[in-house]
Amino acid sequence: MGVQEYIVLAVLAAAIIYLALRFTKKNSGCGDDCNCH
Amino acid sequence: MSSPLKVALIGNPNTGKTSIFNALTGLRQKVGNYPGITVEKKTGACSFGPDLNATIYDLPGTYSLNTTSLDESVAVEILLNRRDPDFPDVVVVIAEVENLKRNLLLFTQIKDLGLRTILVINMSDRMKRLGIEIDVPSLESSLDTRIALLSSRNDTGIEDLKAILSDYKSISDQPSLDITDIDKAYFENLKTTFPKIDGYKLWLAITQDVNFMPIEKKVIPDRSAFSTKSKAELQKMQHRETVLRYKYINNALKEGYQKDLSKADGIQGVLDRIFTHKIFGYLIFFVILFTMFQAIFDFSSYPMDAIDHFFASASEWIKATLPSGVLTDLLAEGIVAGIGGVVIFIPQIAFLFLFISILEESGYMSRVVFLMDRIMKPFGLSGKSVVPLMSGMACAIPAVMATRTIENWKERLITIMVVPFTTCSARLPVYLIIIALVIPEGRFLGLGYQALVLTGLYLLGFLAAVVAAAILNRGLNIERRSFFMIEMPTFKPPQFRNVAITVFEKTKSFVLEAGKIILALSVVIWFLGSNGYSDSFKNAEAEVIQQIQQQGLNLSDDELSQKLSSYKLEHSYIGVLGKIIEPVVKPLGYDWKIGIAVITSFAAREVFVGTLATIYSVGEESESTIVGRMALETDELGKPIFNLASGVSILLFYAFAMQCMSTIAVVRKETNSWKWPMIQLGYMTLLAYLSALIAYQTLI
Repeated sequence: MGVQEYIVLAVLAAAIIYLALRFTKKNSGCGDDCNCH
Repeated sequence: MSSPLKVALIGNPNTGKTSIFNALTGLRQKVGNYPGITVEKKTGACSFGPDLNATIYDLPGTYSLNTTSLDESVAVEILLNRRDPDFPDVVVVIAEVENLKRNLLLFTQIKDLGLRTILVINMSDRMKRLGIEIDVPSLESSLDTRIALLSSRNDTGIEDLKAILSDYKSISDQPSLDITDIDKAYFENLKTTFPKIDGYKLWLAITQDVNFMPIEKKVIPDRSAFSTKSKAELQKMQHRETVLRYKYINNALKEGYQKDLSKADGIQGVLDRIFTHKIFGYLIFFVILFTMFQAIFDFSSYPMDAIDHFFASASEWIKATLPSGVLTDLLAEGIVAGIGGVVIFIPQIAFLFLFISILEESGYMSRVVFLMDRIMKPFGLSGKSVVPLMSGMACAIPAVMATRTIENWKERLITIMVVPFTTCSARLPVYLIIIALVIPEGRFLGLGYQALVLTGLYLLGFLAAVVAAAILNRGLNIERRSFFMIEMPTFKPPQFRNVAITVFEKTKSFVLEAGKIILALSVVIWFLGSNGYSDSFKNAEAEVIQQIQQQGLNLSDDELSQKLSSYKLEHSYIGVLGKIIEPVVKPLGYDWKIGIAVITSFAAREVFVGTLATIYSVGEESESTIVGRMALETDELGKPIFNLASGVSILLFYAFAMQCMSTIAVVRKETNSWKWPMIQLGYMTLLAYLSALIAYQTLI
């Protein structure tokens, strides 16, 4: 694998990690079905 | 330099609070969310001289400290909690000259919290027209505060406000009322049980309709000394509090505030009668609405085309300039295309919010909400749901964002959940190509079948939204406090600065929040579409050339490269995925190619056409050619793939399916949870699948 492939994989990994973090972000409080509405 | 003075702006809705915030802070603003919730938090910087800087907090508009909505409770939480990092040194209550009496209710409540409180009386330019006279010194002494008479429209009075703020230490922090007058015995009891806590703060916390997050709940060790009250008794006490407050306000206004209606002019009343008329009101609204959408389509089509071309040429330029390789492909096809997919929505979002904020600023929107509330209520929606539902015809993303004006959480959530049913502009390319393929060109009573089907699809989307809202209204187990109170602000020409700031903030919020998710997903989809593990993928070039030689074809370079990319796509990860899901989409009348298009169009519906164009190896510029090629596609039995049954099945699938990751991203942002977008994706996909299945199996 050349440098280009490594960069592409790094970008892909960054994108997946970013999405994973957004998907699993812990939500607190309202906006969900909590009692405050 | 000492830390900046913290100034909170608070006031009833439509008192011009945002205008004053803008005038104080200019563009030195930050918009974020309060921690853990989706209520927008606006702060800005302001300087009152070389030594005194201030941070201005624009708290959500509220009628009183007895809160009913999430927005309002945010304001109360901050004002109650001295440990809150946003707890203000000074509170500026913005009142509006015409409804001063009602606005002062909030003022007296805030003063009773023991905070330094300034009163701003805004819209003073209208005093003369409304026949109002104010004696500021007299009112200052009776209300025990400092008052700034201000007109954000004429830009007068801001300097007075700044002068008062710079002398903030002289402002009184004494309460307006003796709160124990509500019920002496009860407040004595409170004092004995919680000797360290201010009686009015406790009273507020006890009587709120919403739960406060930061309040620690402690068990009272000795409850014998403390008598609790029932909810009904507490409500009675709240009424007594309101009566006491209005008594105080009436007394205070007796000398300082005079209103002589005979001096007021009456154009506002006439306008109101016309715009809220039982028949003309609706007619005028629909004319304005259609003009608005037509304008959004017309105005945004040029910048959207320009953006489209710009990114297409940027992509080509990158491919031509940089050395060929995967990194260049990632830049050209993944990142640039991904950014393009975000930027292309900007014109629609900007124009939509331009029109909405003009309508809001002018005072017309409140009349629309009043008109529509009666119609929407039975479906669990609010009058305020109308604007998002209509905006959804352009694009669901700004529509979901437009639900922020709905105070009631349940109504807002239902609106968000059903908005993606309305026919957005991204469905149009899919509808047009499929209709052109499977619906005959004949006419019925002078109306073309194709146009009728298209209109029917728009109506179907709206109907689905309303029916789904009615079902969700029954199914969602969220208590709804159903009372409707709307301010009727006077009609006035919109202020350019406020309109411009709204458009800028909404657009920025979309690009930065939803944009990041779209970009990340684009990179992933690009990777899956341009890589594969099979030998066929790796040896694609050799295999394609061999096929061509066997068939004895003589192809141009362009045709050859399209054939190659189509072959590669078929054997890429996404292609393999398409083959895997073929059994699932087969009952709907789709082959694996349509399956891939359905998967990739998850990025955005219009990608469906682009993907089919790639798969059928034709340039996406010439739609007629795609239609021609698609019409020739046959299954293994030689029957056309795109027939009436499969066509109607695709149309229904796209009418109901969520199929838009940008909408999912924005729903995630607006509900602050993955739960709602996932439920939405689930139920819409299920509905789409079932209706497509029934349609195909019936028609075949």
